[in-house]
Amino acid sequence: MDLDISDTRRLFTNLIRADKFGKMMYSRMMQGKLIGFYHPAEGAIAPGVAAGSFLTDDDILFPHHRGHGITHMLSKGIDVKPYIAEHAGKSTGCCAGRAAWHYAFPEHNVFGTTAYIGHNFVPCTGFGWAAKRNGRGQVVMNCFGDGAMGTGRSHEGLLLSSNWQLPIIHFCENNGLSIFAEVEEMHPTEHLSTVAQGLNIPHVIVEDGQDVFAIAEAVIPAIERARSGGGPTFIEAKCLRFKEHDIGNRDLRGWTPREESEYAAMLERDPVKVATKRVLDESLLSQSEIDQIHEQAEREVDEAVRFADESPVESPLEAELLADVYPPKKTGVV
Amino acid sequence: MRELAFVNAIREAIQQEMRRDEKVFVVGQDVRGGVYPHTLNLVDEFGPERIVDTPISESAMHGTAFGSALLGYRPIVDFMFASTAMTVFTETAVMTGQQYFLHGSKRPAPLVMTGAWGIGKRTANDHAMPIHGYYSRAPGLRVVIPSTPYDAKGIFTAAIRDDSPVMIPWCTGVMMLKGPVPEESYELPLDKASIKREGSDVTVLANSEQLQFALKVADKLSGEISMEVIDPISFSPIDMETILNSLEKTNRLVIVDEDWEMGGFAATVAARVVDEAFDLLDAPVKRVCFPNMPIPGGFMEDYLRPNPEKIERAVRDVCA
Amino acid sequence: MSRDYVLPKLAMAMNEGTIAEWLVEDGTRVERGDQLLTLETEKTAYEVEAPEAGFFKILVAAGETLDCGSVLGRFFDSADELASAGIQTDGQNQQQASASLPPSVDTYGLAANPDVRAYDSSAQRKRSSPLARKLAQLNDIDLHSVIGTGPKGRVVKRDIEKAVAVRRRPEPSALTAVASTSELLATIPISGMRKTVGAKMMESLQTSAQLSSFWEANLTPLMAARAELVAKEEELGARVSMNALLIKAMLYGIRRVPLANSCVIGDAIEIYKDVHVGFAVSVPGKTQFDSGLIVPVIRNANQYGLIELNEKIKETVIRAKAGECTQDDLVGSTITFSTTAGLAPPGHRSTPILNLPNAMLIGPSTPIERPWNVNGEVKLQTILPISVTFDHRVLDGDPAVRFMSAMNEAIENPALLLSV
Repeated sequence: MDLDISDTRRLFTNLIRADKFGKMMYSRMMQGKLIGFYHPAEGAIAPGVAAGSFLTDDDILFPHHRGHGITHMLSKGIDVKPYIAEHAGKSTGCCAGRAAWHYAFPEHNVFGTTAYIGHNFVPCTGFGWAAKRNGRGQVVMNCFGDGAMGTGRSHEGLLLSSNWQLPIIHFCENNGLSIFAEVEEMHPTEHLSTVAQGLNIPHVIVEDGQDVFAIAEAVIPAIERARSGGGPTFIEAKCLRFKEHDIGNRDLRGWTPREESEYAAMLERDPVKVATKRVLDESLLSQSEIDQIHEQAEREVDEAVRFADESPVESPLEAELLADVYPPKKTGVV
Repeated sequence: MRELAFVNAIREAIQQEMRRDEKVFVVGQDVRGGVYPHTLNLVDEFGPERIVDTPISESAMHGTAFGSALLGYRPIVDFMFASTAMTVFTETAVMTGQQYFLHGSKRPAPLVMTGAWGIGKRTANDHAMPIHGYYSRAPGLRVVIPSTPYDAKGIFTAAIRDDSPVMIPWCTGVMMLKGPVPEESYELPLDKASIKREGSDVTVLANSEQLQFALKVADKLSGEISMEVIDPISFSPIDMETILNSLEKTNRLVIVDEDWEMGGFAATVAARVVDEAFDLLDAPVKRVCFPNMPIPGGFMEDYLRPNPEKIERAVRDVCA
Repeated sequence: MSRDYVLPKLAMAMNEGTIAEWLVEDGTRVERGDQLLTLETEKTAYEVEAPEAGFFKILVAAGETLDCGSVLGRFFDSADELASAGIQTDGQNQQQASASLPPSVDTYGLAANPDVRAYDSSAQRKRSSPLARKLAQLNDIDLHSVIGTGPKGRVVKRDIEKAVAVRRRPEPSALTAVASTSELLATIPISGMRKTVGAKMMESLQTSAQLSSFWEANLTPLMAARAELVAKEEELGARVSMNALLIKAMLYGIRRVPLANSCVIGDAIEIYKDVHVGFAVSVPGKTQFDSGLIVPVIRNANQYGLIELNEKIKETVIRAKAGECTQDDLVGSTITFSTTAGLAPPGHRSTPILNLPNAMLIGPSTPIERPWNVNGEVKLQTILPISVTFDHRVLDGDPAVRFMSAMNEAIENPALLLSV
C-alpha cells in the first residue's frame, strides 16, 4: 500500500482506540450508565478511522451516528472524554449535559448531530460554502450510512456541493442495513455512489470496508482534491455491522433474525484482526509496539470512564436554563 | 425626513449591513434577479459570491446559511414566500432554534431567515399563509415582525447583528407602505413591542396590515372610544411588560392577528394576561383572527380575514 | 382524590358568612388544624381551622359572602392533582348551573329556585369582571348590592366606581358643610362589628313594635343583703356582684310572668322554659374614640345558684372583653340584660334598643340617692333607675308592667330571691 509508516501507525492506533471505546460504550449501555440510545459500531469502525485520521483541527467533521461519532472524533484528535461524560448526562459533558447523546465540539469544528437521517447534508452545505469562501484549504468530512441516501436532503446536499464545487468529502459507510432493511431492497442500483455519479461528483468505491488501510488510500486523495479546490468526492466504503442497529433493538435482516453463519463469517473480517494481520505480515509494527498501543488505548478508555463516573449530574434551575436559550445581546455594532 | 416603502427599507438595511460587514450575505432562490425589491440589484454591488442563488432546494439554501453561520458568517436566507420555509420546518425551526442551547450555549448560529406572507392578495393558502404562529413555538428562535418602514430597517439591521437566529416573516399587505426612514444605520430592539398610538379605554394589539386597520379604526372611534394601539413586533419572546403596562391603564384587551385562531400569538397572550393580570381585566379578552380553515383563495380572503369592521366590533364589545 | 371544603355553619343561627381573609397561600400544603381563613358572620369574626390536611385550592376569593355549605375550596392529596384539576371546577359548576336554567336567566338572584340550590356557590356568585371584584373588595362594597351594567348583567369597574361615589355622597345637611372643611381626628370605616351593630340596631327599630318604660326601685334592702354576702366572700369563694342579684330578680319576674322570656321567631312568639340571658358587654372599638358592643349569652341562667351565676357572669365578661367569644356564644338569648350602672350619671334613664329576637331588655343604670317614703318617714335611700324596652307585638302593657312589678318586688324584698 501507499501509506507511509506514520500514516499506518496512526490508522492502526486509532483503530485500536476506536475498538476499545466502542466495546466500552456497549457495556456501559448494558450497565445502564448511558442515557438515550447507543448505536454500536462494532465491526464497522474502519471507515470512521480512515475518515477522521487525516483531518486537521481546522477541518469540519460531521460524524456518522454509528458509534456515535467517537471513532471519527478520536481519529480527528478530539479528546472524547467530555463526550463520554455528556452521554452519561453529566454537567462536565461537552454540551453541559443538555445534548444527551447528540454531541458538539464547536472548538474542534464538530457542530452537532440529529435524529433526522440525512440532515447531515444540510449544514455540511453551509460548512462547505464557508470553507470555500475562507480560502485556506479547509475540507468538510460529511459521514453518513446507506440509509441517508434515501432522503431528499442527500440529493439536495450532493447537488449543491457539485454545483458549487464545494470542498466536501461525502463519506458513505455502506453496511448494507438500515435498522433492519437491506440496501438491496431500498436502493435501485448496486452502488450508492451512482447517485453522485449522476450529479457529476467523482466517486470511489472501496469494496473491502473492513480494511482501514484500503479506505485510507481512497480518503487521502479525496482530501487532497478538496483542499486544492478540486471540489467534492463521494467515497463509498462497503463494510459490515456486527451488532444490532441500536442496543435494545433486535438484530434482523429484513424481518428475520440474522443467521449464526453470518456472524461467524463477519467475525473473520473483524477490522482489528484484518489490520493486525496486515501490519504483522508486512512488518510494519512489532508485536510489542502493538501491545503498547493496546495498553495505551485501555488507559485512555479507563480515564474517560473514570472522568464520566466521577463527574456530577447537575440540575440547573429553570430560570438559569431560560437565561441560556439566546446568545447574549450585543451592545453597539460588532 | 425622506420616505421609503417598507420593502425598500428592508433593502437598505441589508445593503448597509453588507457594506459594513463582509461576513453578511444573502442566499436563496433567485435573489440576484430579485423577485421582491428587497434584494433587487444588490448583486451589482456585492457580486454573486455574496448574493447567492441556489437551486430550488430549501434544505440546501437553509443549510448554506446554517452551516456557514456556525463558522462565523452572518447569512440572510430568503425563502421568498414565508410558507416555503415550512417545507424544511425541522431545519428552520427545530434544528436552528435548538443548536445553541442544546450544545452547551457555546457557539451561536446567527442567521436571519425571511419570507413574505399576507392574506388578502388573493394568492390562496400556500403563498398567503402566516408562519409566525408555527415558528414562535420553536424554542431558541426569535420571531420578529416589523410593520412600518422605520421599524423594518431597524429590525432587519438588529437581526443581522444579533447572534440569535431570527425569523422575520414580512407582510405583503404593507410592502408598499411608505414612511419616514432615517438614512443612517440604526437598530431597534428585537424583543420590545412599540406603542403606535396612545389611548386609555382599550389596548389593541395588531401587526402588519392589521396595524394599519387598527389605526384606522382608532381614528374613526376617536372621541368615542380611546384605543391604545400596540405593535407587538416580537412574537417570540413576547413583550408582556408593555402589554400589561397598557392594560393597567385600559383594563381591556383586543388582540388582532392575521393568523389562524388556533394556538397562535393571540391565544398565548390571552392566556398569559389571565394568568399574570387577572385583576386588571374589566372585560373578556377578545381575539380577532383568521378562522380555522385553509385560506380559500380569491375573494373570500377579504371578508374572512380580520378587517376594520371586525376590529371595531371587537373593540365595541369589550367596551360595552 | 379531592374533597370539597364548604363554608362552615358555626352556629345554629348562622346562614351565611363572608370570607374576610384567606390565611393560607393558594395551592400550598395545609395541615389539619392550621388556620385556614377568617370568616366574618353577622356577629363576629372567626378564625377557622382546616378540618383536614392536603394541598388546598382556593375557589372563592376573599370578600365574597356565601351561604353556609357553599364550596370555598378543595383539598387535594397531591400538588400534581391540584395543578391539573384546580381551575376547571368553578367553570364546571358554572356550566352545570347555567345548563339547568333557561338560557336567558342569570344564575344569581334565584336563591328561591330549588334547582339552583344544588350549586350554591355559582348561585351566590354574581357575574362580575375580575377588576370589579378586586375594586369591590378594596372598597368594602358588597358585590351583591351592585347592579351590573356590563354585558349579561356583569358588574364592571364603572359600577363599583358608582357604588363608591354613592356611598361617599354626604346627606344634605348643615353638618356636611362642617364635616368637609373640618380637620379629621380619625375616620372609622363602618365595617365589621360597627357595621353589624348598626345594622342590627336599625333593623330592631324598624321591624318591631318596641317601646320603653322606666321605674325606680329602692335598692337599699338589696344592698344590705349584698353586704352580708360580700362579708362572706372568702368563705363563699366569690364576691357576689349586684348584677348577679339583679338578674336573680329578673328571673323572679320571669317566673311570675313567663311571657317576658320569649322571642319573635317568624310568625310566632316562642316562650321558653329556660332563661338564656344576653349580657351586654362594652368592648374596645377600632380607635381611641369609638367602642364596640357584644352580647354573649349566659345559657340556662335559671338553673344556677347565686354563686355559680355570679361566676358565670364574671367569666362571660372577661371572655367577651378578651375577644374570646365564639359564634355559639353570641346566639340564643331569650332576654337581654344591659346595665350602664357605674358608668352613666346617677338616675340615668334611657330607651335601650331591643336585642331581637328577644321580646324584652332590662337596662338598669347608676343608682342615685333620693328622699324616699320609708314607712311613712322621709329618708334618703339608694334608688335604682331601671329602663325596660319590650316588644308590644309580644307583651301588651298588662303583662309588661306585671313583670316589672314582680321584678321590683324581688329587688325591694330580697327574701323573694330565695325562690329562684
